[in-house]
Amino acid sequence: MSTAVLGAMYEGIKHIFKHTFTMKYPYQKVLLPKGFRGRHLLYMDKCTGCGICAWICPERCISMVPVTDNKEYPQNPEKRFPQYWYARCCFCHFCTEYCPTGALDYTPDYELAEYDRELLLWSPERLSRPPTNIGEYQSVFHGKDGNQGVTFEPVIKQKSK
Amino acid sequence: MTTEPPSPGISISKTAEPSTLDVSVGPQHPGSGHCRILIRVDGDYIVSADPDIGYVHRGCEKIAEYRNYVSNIPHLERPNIADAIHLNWGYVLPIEELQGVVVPPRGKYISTIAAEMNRIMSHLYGLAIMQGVFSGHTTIFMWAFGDRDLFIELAEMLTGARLTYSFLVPGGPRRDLPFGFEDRLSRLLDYFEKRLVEYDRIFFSNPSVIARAKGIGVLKREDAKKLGVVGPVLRASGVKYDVRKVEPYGAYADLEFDIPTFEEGDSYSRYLIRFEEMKQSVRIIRQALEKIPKGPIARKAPLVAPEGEATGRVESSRGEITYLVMGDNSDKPSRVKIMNGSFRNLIALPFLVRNVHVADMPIIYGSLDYWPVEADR
Repeated sequence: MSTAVLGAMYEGIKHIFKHTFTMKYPYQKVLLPKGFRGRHLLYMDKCTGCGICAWICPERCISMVPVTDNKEYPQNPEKRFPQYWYARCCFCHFCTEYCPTGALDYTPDYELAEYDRELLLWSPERLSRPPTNIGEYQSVFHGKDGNQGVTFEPVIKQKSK
Repeated sequence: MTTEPPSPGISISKTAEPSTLDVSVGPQHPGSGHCRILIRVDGDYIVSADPDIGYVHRGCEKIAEYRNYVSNIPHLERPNIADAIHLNWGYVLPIEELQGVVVPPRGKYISTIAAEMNRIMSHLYGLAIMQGVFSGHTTIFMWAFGDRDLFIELAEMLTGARLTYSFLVPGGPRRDLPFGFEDRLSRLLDYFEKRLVEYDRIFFSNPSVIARAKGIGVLKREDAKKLGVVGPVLRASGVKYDVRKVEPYGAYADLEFDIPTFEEGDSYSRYLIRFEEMKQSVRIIRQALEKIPKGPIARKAPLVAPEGEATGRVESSRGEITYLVMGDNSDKPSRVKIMNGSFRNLIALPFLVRNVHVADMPIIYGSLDYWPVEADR
């Protein structure tokens, strides 16, 4: 019994000398893998306005709206594009996979909180903006099989080692 | 004579003895989760307990009748976000049976790897919160949650989401293994096996944990069979029953693994059974990564299912999940029925907490690894 107590204490004390696990978000952001299901990216020059994304959407958060800009879209003469209501979106990205022309794409943007509820309604023009989130931290195992602990380190620094 | 209108939930009867006191644990108590447990105490002993479920009921089965087969996947896995793949897989299996779609071998292996990773994550969650925090052991809470994050990082790499994967659709998984995934996963498993030894020393062999959990809430083998409990709770009582062996789905028929069982049936053996299952999950993932064949990952499945009904059973981390799906030649199911492990294991709680100290109730409740939202559906 006493050896088991000492073993548990030793295990706990050993942990003090290991690397700390914590990552200091938002100053440090994790590197998101390719294909992370964040907010959507719309290629307006590919979208035909067929509405399959709105049909497959489980949360009914996509509506097809006409766009009033001066540009011409030969593949989409009625100028109807998807508009996302991000208060309802569950980020399953079935819309991206079911899009027959590949007009929707994944982005690593996940910080979509807004002060105003109406700002969560993303217009087609806003959806076609390029993503802004750049994370660079990834988990690193220290020592043999990580017996010195795990930390999150910038990827660029890892490669130079 | 006046009759009182029926109140929702369980009403407190007025025939209680004067020495007893009715205490409502929950439904917003951090310990009980979203479930009210009405206990009657006599001094420090619990006389009776009544779990009052339904606080987070949202009618998943009814909602499923108004959406098409693919759109149902995200909301049917929401009841248990810690164990999303199994809830998803149990729903997809009967649809594939109805449509006559056969998933290619590589697709089955990828699903199995994802499911076993999810089992480890779910058991780490249970170890951290349901077992660690409830028995007052904050260290294992931090350690298990930290290591769970490393698995989440890899699940994110495979599926694109941290918890809400929606990974399996009728026909197979949505994505192939990404570049470098196998190396990172096998390195993580090496790390995790070392960590399991440390978990054993600080938690499972810790005399203070053993003193709290051993011999508390004993569920005997015959009682477990009679009550119809499933999953780890059933196996901790000595019944060797696992859907992965009894009715193999996915790639489990090709893989070697044991079903750990314990004879005692107390809270401590229910703690240990999840610990042993994590070891078996590591073994399954290792074999699956070695044996995984090349080829296509999925077949194209139709959006419409023919008339008929089919059931799918999977062994989730909280027990067996059974889905019944009825099709009617349209793109929406005409009926979806879900039976899951949490609901069937909660039946044991009133029998286990009789004549125990009030302080032992969180231990017993935590050892059942109950997830209220999954049971309420």
